[in-house]
Amino acid sequence: MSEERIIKSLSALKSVQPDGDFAMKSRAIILSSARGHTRPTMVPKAIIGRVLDMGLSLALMSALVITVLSGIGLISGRNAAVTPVLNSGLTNDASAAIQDINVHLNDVQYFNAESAKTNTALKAAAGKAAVSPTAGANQQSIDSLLNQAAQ
Amino acid sequence: MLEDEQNLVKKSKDGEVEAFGLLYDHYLPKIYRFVLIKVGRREEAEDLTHQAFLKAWQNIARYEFRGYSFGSWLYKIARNTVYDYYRQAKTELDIEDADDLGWLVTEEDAAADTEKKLNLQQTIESLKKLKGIEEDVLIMRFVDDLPIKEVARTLGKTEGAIKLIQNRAIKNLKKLIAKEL
Repeated sequence: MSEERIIKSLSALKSVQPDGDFAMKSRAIILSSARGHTRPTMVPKAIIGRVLDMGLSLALMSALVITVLSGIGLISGRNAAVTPVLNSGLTNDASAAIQDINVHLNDVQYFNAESAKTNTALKAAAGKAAVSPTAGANQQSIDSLLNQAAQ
Repeated sequence: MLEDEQNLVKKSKDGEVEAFGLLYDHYLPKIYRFVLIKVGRREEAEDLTHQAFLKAWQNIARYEFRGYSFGSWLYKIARNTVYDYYRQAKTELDIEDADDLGWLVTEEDAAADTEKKLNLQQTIESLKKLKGIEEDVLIMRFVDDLPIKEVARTLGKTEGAIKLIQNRAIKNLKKLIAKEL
């Protein structure tokens, strides 16, 4: 067989076609299956894994550093690491206390003012009573009645 | 190359199943022929072709256009699928184990041309005795009409190497057929 004839024989194999039923079923199965991989524009799993590892390491290291600094601060009494947190808490407490004190002071001032007004009014009332002529006559008639009753 | 192929590939990467469906329709006959000639049995060829396209769909995000058709990538997957199949099954496919090679001749010319069938049968039987890469080159070049550049790309060889393999394969095939006669 010549080389040309061999090539012609091979070319004749082009007539081989897949079965139509197989083609249809295979196509349907493939297209209904989920794609398992992401686009290349996305970050590969390995990189995500490394980033997560690094992030976890950094987070653990940060937690360790904060714990150590807090411990040292508390032990030494300087509270260097926790001062901002404590300060904010103390400031809030102090503000609340100051507000309470202010309310009480306002009450005290109010009662003082009211007391002064009452005193003034009482004094004024007493003075008027002392100078009233009818009040004196009334007092005398009361005294005489009391004397009569005693006798 | 299929017209607007790269656009279809891009759409497939974006998850458009119908775009991949069009690529499937275009390449199925070629990939199926390639696999069938290599394994010699229709059932295995259908299974392996299906596997190859399924792998392609599931891994399409990895495909990058570098001036070669999507088909080169598909051939690579199909070729690897066939070799994996042989490795796993540890099967040395013997042509005698294959079916009656009825697939060699289409229904319309089966009755009329027995000589053609015999010629094809001889060619296939001898083709099976070639080295794997020689068989691949002859199928891709003369059955599926791939240009040398694409065959080189698919098989990871230079164009010069493919030309040499092709010439050697035809000579070896000629010797084998002559021996059979």
